[in-house]
Amino acid sequence: MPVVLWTDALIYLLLAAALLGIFLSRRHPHLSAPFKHIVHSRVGVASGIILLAYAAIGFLDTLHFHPALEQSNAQGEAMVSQRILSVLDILTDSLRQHSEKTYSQPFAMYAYVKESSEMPDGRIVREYPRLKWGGAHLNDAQEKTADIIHKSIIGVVIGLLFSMLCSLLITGLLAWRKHRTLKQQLTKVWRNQTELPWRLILLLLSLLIVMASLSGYLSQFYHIMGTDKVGEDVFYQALKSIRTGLVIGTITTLIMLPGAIILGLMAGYFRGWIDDLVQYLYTTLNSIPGVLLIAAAVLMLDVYMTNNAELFDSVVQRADLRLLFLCVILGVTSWTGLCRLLRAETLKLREMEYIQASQAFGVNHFMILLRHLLPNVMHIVFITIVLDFSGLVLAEAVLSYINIGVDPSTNSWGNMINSARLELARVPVVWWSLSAALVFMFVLVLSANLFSDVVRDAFDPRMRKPS
Amino acid sequence: MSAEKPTVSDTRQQPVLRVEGLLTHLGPQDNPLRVVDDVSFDIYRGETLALLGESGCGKSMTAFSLMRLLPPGGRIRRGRVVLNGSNLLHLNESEMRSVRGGRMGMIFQEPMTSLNPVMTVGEQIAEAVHLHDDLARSEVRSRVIELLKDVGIPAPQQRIDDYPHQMSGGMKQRVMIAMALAGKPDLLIADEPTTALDVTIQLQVLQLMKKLQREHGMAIMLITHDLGVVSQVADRLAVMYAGHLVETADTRDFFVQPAHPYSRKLLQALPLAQRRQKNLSIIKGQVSSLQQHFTRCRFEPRCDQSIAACARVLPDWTELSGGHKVRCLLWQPEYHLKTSQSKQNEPQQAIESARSDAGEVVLIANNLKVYFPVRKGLFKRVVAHVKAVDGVSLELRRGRTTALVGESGSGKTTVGKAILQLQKATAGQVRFGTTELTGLPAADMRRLRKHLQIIFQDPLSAMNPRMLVQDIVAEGLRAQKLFKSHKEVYEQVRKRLQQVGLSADSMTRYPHEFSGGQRQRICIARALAVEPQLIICDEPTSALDVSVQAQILNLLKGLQRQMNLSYLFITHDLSVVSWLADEVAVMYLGRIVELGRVEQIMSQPRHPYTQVLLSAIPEIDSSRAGAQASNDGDRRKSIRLEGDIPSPIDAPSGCHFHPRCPKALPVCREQYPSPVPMGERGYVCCVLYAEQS
Amino acid sequence: MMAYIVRRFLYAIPILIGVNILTFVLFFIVNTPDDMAYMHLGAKRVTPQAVENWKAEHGYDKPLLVNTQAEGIKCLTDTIFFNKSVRLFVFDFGTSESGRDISYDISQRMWPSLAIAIPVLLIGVLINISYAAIIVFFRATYIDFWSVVITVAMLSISTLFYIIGGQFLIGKLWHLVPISGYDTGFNGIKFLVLPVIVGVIGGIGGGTRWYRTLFLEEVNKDYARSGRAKGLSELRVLFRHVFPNALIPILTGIVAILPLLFMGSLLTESFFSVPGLGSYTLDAIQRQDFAIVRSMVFLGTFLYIIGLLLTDLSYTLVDPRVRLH
Repeated sequence: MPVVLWTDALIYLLLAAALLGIFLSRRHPHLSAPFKHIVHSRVGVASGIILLAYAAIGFLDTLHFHPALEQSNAQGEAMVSQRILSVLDILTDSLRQHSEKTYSQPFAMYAYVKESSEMPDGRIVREYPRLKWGGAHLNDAQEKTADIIHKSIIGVVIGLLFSMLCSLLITGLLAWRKHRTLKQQLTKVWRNQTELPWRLILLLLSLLIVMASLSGYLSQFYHIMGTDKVGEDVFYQALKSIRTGLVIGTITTLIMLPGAIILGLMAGYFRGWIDDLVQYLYTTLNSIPGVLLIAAAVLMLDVYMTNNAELFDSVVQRADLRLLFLCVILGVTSWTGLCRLLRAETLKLREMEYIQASQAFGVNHFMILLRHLLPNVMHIVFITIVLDFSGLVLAEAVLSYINIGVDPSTNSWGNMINSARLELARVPVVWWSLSAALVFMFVLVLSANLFSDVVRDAFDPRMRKPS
Repeated sequence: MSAEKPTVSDTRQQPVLRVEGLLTHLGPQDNPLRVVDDVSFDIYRGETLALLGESGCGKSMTAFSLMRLLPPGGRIRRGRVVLNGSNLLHLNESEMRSVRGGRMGMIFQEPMTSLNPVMTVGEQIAEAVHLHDDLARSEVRSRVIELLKDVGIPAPQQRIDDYPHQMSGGMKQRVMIAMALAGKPDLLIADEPTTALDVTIQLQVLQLMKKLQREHGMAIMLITHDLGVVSQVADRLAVMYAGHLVETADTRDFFVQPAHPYSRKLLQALPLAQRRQKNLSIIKGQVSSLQQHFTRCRFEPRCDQSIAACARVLPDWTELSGGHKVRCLLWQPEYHLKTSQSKQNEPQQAIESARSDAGEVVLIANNLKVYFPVRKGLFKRVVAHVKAVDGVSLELRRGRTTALVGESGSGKTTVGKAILQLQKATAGQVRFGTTELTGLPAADMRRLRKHLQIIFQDPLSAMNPRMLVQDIVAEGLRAQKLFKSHKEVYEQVRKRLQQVGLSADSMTRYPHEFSGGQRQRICIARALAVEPQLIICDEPTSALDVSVQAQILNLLKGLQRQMNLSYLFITHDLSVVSWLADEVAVMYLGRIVELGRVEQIMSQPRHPYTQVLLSAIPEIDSSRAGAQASNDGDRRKSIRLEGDIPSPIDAPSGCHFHPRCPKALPVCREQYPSPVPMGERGYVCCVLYAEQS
Repeated sequence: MMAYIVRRFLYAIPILIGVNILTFVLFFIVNTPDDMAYMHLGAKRVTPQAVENWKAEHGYDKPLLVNTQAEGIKCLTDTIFFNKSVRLFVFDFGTSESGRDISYDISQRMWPSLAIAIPVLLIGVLINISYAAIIVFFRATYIDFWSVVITVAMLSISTLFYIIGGQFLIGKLWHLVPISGYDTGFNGIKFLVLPVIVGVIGGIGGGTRWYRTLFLEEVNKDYARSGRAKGLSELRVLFRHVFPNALIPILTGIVAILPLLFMGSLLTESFFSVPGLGSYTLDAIQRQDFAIVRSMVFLGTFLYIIGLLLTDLSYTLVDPRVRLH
């Protein structure tokens, strides 16, 4: 039985908006031209594909449902569990189930800490116990390296087969559209003579598929990134954290967008007391140090949630609402920047002669705002969305680290770092949880930053060549 | 121009600068723009050579090639640039640096942005002095002051420590000239030095350049699009078209007999009083793309005298007389025969003239005032007013054009906006027909707006870049709810576009896909769509090249006859006025100083300011104007106006014009002169004529 | 000029009032003092008496806005709003939930914050400007390209990584300086080195990239072309003309954050156990000490407004075009 959480609903809304945007941009050259610029740029395409891969995982993690129970009730109807799972959970079922007792290193067969166990002869010894799942199929520690290499080769070969199939399929489609033979098209792609950088796209896609197949296959037998304090697979945690990062990075902007656009445009266009009011609003909000405002709001939310625990059906819903609320608070602190930019741009645009021309026709204010001003500030909105994204993803980690971020039960990179930091003092160090979170975050933020550079170049009129 | 000037023949020694076969590329390696293509010329000592051409023809790129300061992506592919015997293209970068600002100085079009805003002008000039003059530290300052004095900056000891923003545009250009002079250059390159300046200031700067040239004996290469500037200061000129020189001549010969069809067209496109009865000559089509390697005459597709060979042969120079050379097949002996058969001057379509006199009054502006408050102090109290418009009265008549002439800061644009109620008037009335527009409820005003329209100076910024042309033109129709269905709206749009000479397929394109002239046509179509009675034209041709300006002016005049439109034509350009307007109002610092019929103002200007403005109009058609010159009396003597235009915040007491007026009397300082009637409906605000009445 | 400063201070008043009302609503309306008492006393089954005691102890037992029982002016002053919010205006921060004098704590803890924040800012700006200048001199070459790649990569790394990595590498692996701690006087220097290095390195990505953009914007302006036409060398054009113009936004931007340096850095101070205002705030957040959080919100706002004013004033010093009136 499907379940739609609050953030799920907003993600669907975002997707719908993106689809609508793509549909509209096909009809308006001023929208599709920057888009073309992006897909023609190698950096743009490469970072875009990685972002899409992240987004795909996040989306799978958004399709929530109550799993059906095996047994049926007295009337013979199927029963649904109260638990909430996502499609990603099902796909990574083995990772989720393969939980150990506590820490274990990546690819370990044995636990990280010694444990007392009773030998068959009754003696009590302290030793590193075998893991329940990690490397369980091995008889001897000696076999491990050979086994890992063997399994990696299988994983890579499967991945390569899949990626070749995929590349052939895509090239075939291209050939069909361009009315060439498959062979012609393949040579063109190989020699990088296509209009879009297809060779780069296919190479990257292949790399991603190989990596997915490799890690997917290996993780059936090992904890490829180790396990954490309660024995949960770190690779699974890192995958689940992707959705949290994406939600914070996108929903926050989505929430603040309408307010920032409406207030910014009105302040710039009408000036006078509306302008004074909007300026007062954003100066006031801006003057409170962001972290403190977020802290204050989250603390109050905590108090409220503790005192009204009965309002929430399940832990997942509670955690989801907290995530949503965090987005709202982050939105409240970050709308001021966009609003100020839009106000300044509108002040400039309202003096443009085409605005005066429409006033001379007696066009009403609403239509001027909608048809003349909004389309001409949209590039700023797009640039802000992508620029803010990486900052928000990084902010989530910091906030969760200070305990004013997402719910502790939510998987997030910040929570992973937060729980791992306590173990840094250990000798030898428990490094894998921390590193996994940082690497996953780094790849996402780096691609987002590179992508935002390309987007800014594409949309910023100053960068555009004079026509 | 002046007697002391060395004549060209005196200076036939070694040229200061000799450019040979210069070829400059811009843009990608595989498909470059040939922005300067096989350009050769000489400049001699003490001579001013004007490089004349319309925008995008490669004039500035030629200059930057000489300085080796091309923008990123620009490169010199071929040619020689020899300055006093040394080829600049062979120098290394550090040797070249001593040439820049030393033997060759340059000044630019935008004095506003060409100076470093956070350095005093003194420091900026001193930098150049340091580089090119071996002076002790203490001497530098006095040298800078001397330079400032040379370029006519009053009180140089004080102004030396000013920052650029404390100076007016004209002063900044003088500072730029001082900077260029610091290295005592043999050659001064002036890239559109006066284009951004007002007419009276332009005159000052040009005369300054001539004076300095006489004193220092340097050569000047003057880059300009303005035939008037050329006629005022150039000894020789070279006409550039599409990266290529097509004609070189002595200025006098050129204006008497331009040889190249393009040059001729340029001259014929100028709006002049004596052409009032005719449409202006236009050049069809557009400049060919510079990406090609030309093997034919590049003007051939636009030339109406072309012969079959023009499309096959790249014409070479033909010398007509001493120093007058042209690159056109028609002048080569083997083709000469055919030339005489082809028509030299196609008869221009005559416009029916002599309209019945006064039309019915459409709109009256009475004592219109627009003040902007100046706030100061703790509570931002209003301490003064900028009197942008200070009591302007106008009558606009059906089917007639009233021109509102003035320099920047005169308030002419504000008058236009106040009439349209786009700018709230502080006082005064605007009556349209029987309706008083000031204080009219917004809804009523909205309904009236279809009768009153406006066309702006810059057509690109006057159109929303995100909208299709059909929606831009349809905007007024929709706002006024003139048609019910989409189909009717677009039908009207199509009709209007056709009326301004654009085809229906332009409807589904975006403004940036059009050329400057086409864009202005779209703007005109947009204004026409609601079938207005009055159109306010706010400098509609100032941003356009001469040949394009001619098309737009022809169009405006034609539409006026067709639709019996009234125009309020706001401009600073008196030559346009003389061709188009019926009545002229001259504004200075928010007030009208003289008003009258166009013939009267052009032939017999009364107010000293009007006389100055008129003297700034270049004398172009010297062959034909010669006969008239005697009639015009002394008005053709160029009158130079001292000082800058005052700011309207603190307008001078008495007559606003008295501090700059060459004929000022003591009484002018005390009170503003009341209007003295002149002719029917005309008047002049000057005490010089007060006794007569 | 004076009039301008006075006016700016007058403008600040409504902003401070706004912030105060916002925090008041957040802390006392959204959640009542009862809620907070329950939160602090822990379990749900506390006696109403214990709640009342807690409220009385912390001064939350008064009415919110209007005290109907009191007389005269006390009707307004003997309220939570007056005692907890209005008093902030005279910097009377009161006591924390644990009973300490907040003003005293602030005066003690701002110095360690400054000891880290000032060197980080100065060294960071110096390095970033120099690096950006080098990039701009070599613009459109491979140095430019790879520098941009490096700065973007550095920008993409979480601050947490810089701190943890720095601690691990310099402190734990190389044993160069103590991992954390603080001392006064010269003894303190060895504790400051690591947080300062980490702070500077963490800021290079963002700072250099931004300065590069500012420099590049100026390089192609008309006045730079005039400089070249005068015969100036490229180096001189950059140093004498381009940088002074580009430094205007940089300098004024720094002035804007100067007052906020007092507030310290939350993460650095808590990781390195520096007893500054940043770790003070963080502790307060984690202990849910609302009195301190309220005080810090007010202090932060006040310092921000001072920063805005200083920015405007610094413009008049470095930019001859700006005159305030």
